[in-house]
Amino acid sequence: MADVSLKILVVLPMYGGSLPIGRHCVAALRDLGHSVQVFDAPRLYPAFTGLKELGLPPMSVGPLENSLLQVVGQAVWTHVECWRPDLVLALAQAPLNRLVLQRLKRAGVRTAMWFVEDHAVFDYWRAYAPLYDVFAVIQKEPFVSLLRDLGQPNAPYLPLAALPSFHRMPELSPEERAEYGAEISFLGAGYPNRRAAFRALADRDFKIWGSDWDGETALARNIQRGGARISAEESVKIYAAADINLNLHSSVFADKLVSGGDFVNPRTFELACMGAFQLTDRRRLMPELFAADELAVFDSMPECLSLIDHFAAHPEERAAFAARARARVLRDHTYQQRMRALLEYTAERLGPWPEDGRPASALESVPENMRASLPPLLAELGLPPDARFDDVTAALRALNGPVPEPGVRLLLLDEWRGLHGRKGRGA
Amino acid sequence: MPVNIVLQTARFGDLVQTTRLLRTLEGRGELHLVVERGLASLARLLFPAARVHALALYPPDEASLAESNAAVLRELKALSADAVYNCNFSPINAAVCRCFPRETVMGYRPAPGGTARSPWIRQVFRLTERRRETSLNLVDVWGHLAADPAPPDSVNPPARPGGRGIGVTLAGRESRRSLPMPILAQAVQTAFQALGGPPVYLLGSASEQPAARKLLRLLPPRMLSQVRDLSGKTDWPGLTEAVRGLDALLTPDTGIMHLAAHLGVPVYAFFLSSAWCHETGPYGAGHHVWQTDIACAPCLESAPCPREVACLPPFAGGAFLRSLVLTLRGEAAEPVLPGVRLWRSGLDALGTTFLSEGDPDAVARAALRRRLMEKLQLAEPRSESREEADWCARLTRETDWMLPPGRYC
Repeated sequence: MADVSLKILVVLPMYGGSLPIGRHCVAALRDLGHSVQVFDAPRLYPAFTGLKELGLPPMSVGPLENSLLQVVGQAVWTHVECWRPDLVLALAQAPLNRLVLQRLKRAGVRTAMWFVEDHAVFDYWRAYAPLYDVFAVIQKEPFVSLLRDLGQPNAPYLPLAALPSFHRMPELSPEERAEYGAEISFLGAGYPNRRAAFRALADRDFKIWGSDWDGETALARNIQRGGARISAEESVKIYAAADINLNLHSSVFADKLVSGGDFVNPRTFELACMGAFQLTDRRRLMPELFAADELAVFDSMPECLSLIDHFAAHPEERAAFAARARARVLRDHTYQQRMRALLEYTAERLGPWPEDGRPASALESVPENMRASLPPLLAELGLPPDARFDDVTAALRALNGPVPEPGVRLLLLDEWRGLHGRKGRGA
Repeated sequence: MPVNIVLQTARFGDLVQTTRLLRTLEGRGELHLVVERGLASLARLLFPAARVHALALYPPDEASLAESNAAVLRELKALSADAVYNCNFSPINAAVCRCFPRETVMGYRPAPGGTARSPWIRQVFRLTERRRETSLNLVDVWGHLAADPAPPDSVNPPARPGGRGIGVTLAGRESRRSLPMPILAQAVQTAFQALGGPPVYLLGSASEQPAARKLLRLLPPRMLSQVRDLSGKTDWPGLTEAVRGLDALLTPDTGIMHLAAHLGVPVYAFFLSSAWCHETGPYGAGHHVWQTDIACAPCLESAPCPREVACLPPFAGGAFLRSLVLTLRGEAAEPVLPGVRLWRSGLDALGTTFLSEGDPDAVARAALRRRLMEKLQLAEPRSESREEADWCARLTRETDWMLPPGRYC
């Protein structure tokens, strides 16, 4: 398995929390040596928001949105037809419609969905899960049985993770420290349980980042930038600048502030990976992911408030927790490990991946007289020294400006091979 | 001084058919022409105003590909071109075009994931969906890649007999598009008699030498003293000199045919199978083409013929030979023959066009040309009949005007 390099098309959702997860999957798959292309659905999202801004009767917008989604689906299918991937990996909410999924099945292209959502909140899995070859989930029972009963027997448990190359401590400027720094910080959407829980912290040095906090007057002083969306790049700065990162899993119910749910959210892994201290609510699936001395955990809001006071006064304990959590993530919970597990599971359930011997790296697959020019080119493209030939040519074709001369030669070679039905010598 | 690059990496005939574009750019700054290495000397001969760059596109192995082209690619990049006219919808060209800023590339432009076409090229592709009724010469397709191209009558000299005899092109690249030797022998013999027994030159590459020998066996012995077999015996300059000054060239749709038109030699061409004079007929006024006129023509070059090349027998008949005699003598010949129609080339504001009395698609062809002239601002808008408007409407897409019209896609 490790030696097989696959062509994987990752279909990103148009918006939302699974979007950065999808991008991390792309990076991880590339790190594993696979040739990855991305269907960058967010580029099409403005068409949908624009439609809503036309002032049309809401009743007529629905069918129009549906038509747009058909176009998006056709675009995914076109990408597949042109590139012929071994696997199409969709993240939750990815715009892969029923027609495209059926076409993919007929075409023999393997499909996998990583459903990084709570099945009790997003229930569209009932209609779509059976259409995928593999439907990876972040929850266990009863979800897995429900999927099996629905006709989806391939539902591996694939908890969330972190990307060490991205989730690492950044260098913060004094200005950034001033902006992001706080004794307590929270980054996430304003779910009902969070709104209610955080009111007790309104008078503390507590900054709330993220969207969907509209109308939360009690926390108005704490909510940063009026509840604007925060990019994944900025999130690491926020995590890095806080003494205590509060991580309260979301719940649509306000009556139980600490919901005691099952899955562990991405923030848990990201903060741990960075070596940032977090105080998080206990989850049923947490013990198999983190040991008791790796995460500081609370079961209720009174306990949370008490732990905040404790850890605020004991920075050395915060550092010890953070270091242990970081080591654990680097050992067991990276996106690279998750992607490897997903691909291995897929091969186990659906049969081995095609081993058609795609060359191991661009460097090995080009003639001798082109090799010297490759390392600087790869560096210029921001690709690793062992980048695959397909990845290099894709990166060159995606450049907006002129391609450096060694790159043009590489593209010429690629086209020449295509015309003559040849592959690289590493093949 | 602006730097213009023309990228034409296709074959012999295509290179010659790039003449109008190159004529257009000759006076507009520094001109560079990129061709396949085997055609470089011909390119230098035909287009002395251009600096020719030779790409090695048929090397024996990958190492040679890399080594042979490195210097050329460096040269091209160093030119800082203002405009690059990419004539071919070819992945090789697409790769070479990556040397340049995307927005400088005209015609076929590299884009993420593939090649985007200019509005003009998209229009041309659309025309090919209705090949029988359309009329747009490839020379003009490429000529109009540049704004305000050279006038059609400045592209090639007028076709005029030069007094050196008859040239005979033995075969084209596709055997289905050429006359078999027995039929060609009849045509050559007929032309020889019609023109009073002038010298005859057999033209072609080394691969046509067996065909030449076969033709020589089929010609009457009394002719042979006047026949000179040049197949495989000429380099590019030699071929050019062999064609220059001929009275007539008998030919299928070939590179030699385009070379003859380039030199002002009157062309008498036989177009069958996938060859279509309205697309690739000899450029300029005064050429003649006997074009297959059966329901399945023009066919697709890549598709096998299910009708045993039904377009061929009409060229074996006496009617065709009589038409050839009359035409060579400059006398009025009947345009419609069994299975064949005789077309004569002329010029209009758009470029070269082929006309034939009684053409059943004349209205569509004329309407189309008129519409293209208006689009290219070569003619003032005028009223159209309902029939003309309906026909042209088939060639219009909503995306042409609802989306930005100048976009590449």
